[in-house]
Amino acid sequence: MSTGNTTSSNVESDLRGFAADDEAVARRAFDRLASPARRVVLAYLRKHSGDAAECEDLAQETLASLWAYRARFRNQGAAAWVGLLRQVARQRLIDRRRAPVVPTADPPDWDSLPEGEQAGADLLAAVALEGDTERLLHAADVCWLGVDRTLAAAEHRRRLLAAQAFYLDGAGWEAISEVLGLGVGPSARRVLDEWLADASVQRSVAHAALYVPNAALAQRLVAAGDADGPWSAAEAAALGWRYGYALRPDQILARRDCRLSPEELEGLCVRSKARLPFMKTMQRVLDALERSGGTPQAALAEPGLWRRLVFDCAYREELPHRDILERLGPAAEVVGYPLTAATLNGWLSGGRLLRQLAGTLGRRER
Amino acid sequence: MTESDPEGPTFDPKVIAAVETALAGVLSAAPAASPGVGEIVGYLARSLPPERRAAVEDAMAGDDACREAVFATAAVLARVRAAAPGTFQATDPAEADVAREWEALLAQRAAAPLPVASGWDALRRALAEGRAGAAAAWAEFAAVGEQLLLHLQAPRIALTRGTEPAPDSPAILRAEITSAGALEAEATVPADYAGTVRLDLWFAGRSWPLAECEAVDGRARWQVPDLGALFGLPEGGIPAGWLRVSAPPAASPEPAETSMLAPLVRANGSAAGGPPAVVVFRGEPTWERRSYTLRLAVPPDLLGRYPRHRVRVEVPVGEGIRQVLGAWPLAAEMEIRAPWPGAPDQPHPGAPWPRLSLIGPEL
Repeated sequence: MSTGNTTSSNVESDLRGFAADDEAVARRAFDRLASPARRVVLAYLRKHSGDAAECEDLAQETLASLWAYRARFRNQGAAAWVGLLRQVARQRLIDRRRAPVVPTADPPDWDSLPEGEQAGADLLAAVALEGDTERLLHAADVCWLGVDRTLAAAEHRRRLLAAQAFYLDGAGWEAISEVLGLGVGPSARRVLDEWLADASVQRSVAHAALYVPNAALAQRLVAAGDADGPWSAAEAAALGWRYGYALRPDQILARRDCRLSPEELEGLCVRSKARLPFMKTMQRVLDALERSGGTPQAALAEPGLWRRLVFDCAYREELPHRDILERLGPAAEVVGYPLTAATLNGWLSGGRLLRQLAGTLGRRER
Repeated sequence: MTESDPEGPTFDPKVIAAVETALAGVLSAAPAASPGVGEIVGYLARSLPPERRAAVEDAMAGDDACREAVFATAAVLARVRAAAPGTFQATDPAEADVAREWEALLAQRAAAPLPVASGWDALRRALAEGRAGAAAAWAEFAAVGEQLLLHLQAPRIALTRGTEPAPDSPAILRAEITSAGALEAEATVPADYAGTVRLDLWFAGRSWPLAECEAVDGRARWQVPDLGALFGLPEGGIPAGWLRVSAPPAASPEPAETSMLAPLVRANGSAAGGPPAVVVFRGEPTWERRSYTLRLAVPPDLLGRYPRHRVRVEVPVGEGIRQVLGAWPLAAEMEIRAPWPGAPDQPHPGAPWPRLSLIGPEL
């Protein structure tokens, strides 16, 4: 059983309230839990159903089921709560596939939920349920990019912006100072110079350049076109599925609206892979940092930058290992970092990155 | 260095699946939308509340095109601010958009009442909440700090012409900036007074409440964190004339004349060196007949020393952001009127105190 000392979050207290005997207390707690729970359930359902209306219906049914199961609910911590959400949502999805109008009354399998001391996992799940994206991503910056843990997220963002403007856009320090409100004179210049020389800021510049959300990547590839001109409509649609939704080629071919043959799709994947921007981007960032007189390669070849990017790919974009490697492997090579399938497996399959992030979040809480 | 691996047990697969689902629910949110020109101008004028400011910065960090747009807008805005309101000649529609948004912001500045009377702490909160007029009021407060700093850099110049306090009224005994950037002040109050005593920063007939305390044994002591740090004031004493002590009901003296320091600058805008000049205000600046209006008296010795200099007038609009209104030849008595979008027809107090500088002639 998880205890309240694992997280100071409101989620933990609401879970205790939901488990209370007093129905009014439980109702108030459930009302507060429902919104984040709905968000998590929808994220889960969207991975398994392409029908937005169906996802909405099932999310509603899931929440109703959770309330119906309240009498037997035991608070086992935030991670177990998310496990329960998944289980109930999955059951509702299966019910819908079997018989759309008659949901089963089978209760969840309480024993299959995470149990025991899951301090880090509970904290991660609680922060996620609270929707505190900034806190999660800032902890990821501290954990892997080496950002000073005492620095506020907003302050780190200003340093990143200053470095992006200076290194990548060629902006002068006066312009940077004006836009970011750093003030004038030698002291502002000194502050900016310190930021620019900071290895964690340089890694952050590389990270921001290399982290391309799925939708933006698909849009960029489609807009750039093929070597001979624009993609056909069928090719553009396939690129959207492949990169915007991270579907595998076999999943794309299984779609009724895919108008490409297996051979055409295979050819498209080869051509689009060659046009992925990550290697060029890494080279551009490295050149820009080196032109400014630094020795950035060592900072960029540290595993932290690549762990941060793998975290983004796996947990923000929900990419499979193979796609992560396809995007990041060539870029890592540019700075001499050996990013392999085995590395990814170690980081992701054992939950190593999640444990690291939970550790950083825990230290920040203390 | 990045952080090392934590010690401790691994997560079991059920936990990993649950945490992955929770993260997917929050991290796969839609990316930040690109800000429009109005939002960018507001960002550059430091008039956005923190969450909208953060949204603009997130978009800039994640999108090269957005960053480029913000820097391009800043360059246009610098030219718009260097021209008197309403006189900027746009060369393309994008520049015209920036000028229009800036003028809308200036108009808001003229229309929004300044919440300065509620004190700097309340002002800071209003700024954080993004309340109308807060950014401009904060800018004006900061501009007063700039005058105080100038005064400390030129301590021989006497500025205040206020009346001497009555013998039984509160008097400042000590006022200094600490090494931590706080203002610490101590004052005497009538021995039989027991109640709240307020400390105000006082300049040109306007006061900014700084802090309150309870009087004990005829003494009042205040500490105002951050004030020195905010204004960039050096550690040490500050002139007691800048502070007023009031046991409610508060009453600030209202001088008919106020002196202000004006640094000397070259025609290209760079500092010319030398002590700042003293210029005397007749009354307060006002909004009047759709203009910003102020009346100045220039001492004869200043006219004699700088016969070809002009007085440049800038007004604070946002934190660290000023709008140039123009430059006028020095004269013994000056009435300056500059057009201001949104200014009322009738005389209306509450117009911001300007920053003055004396510009040398073109060589």
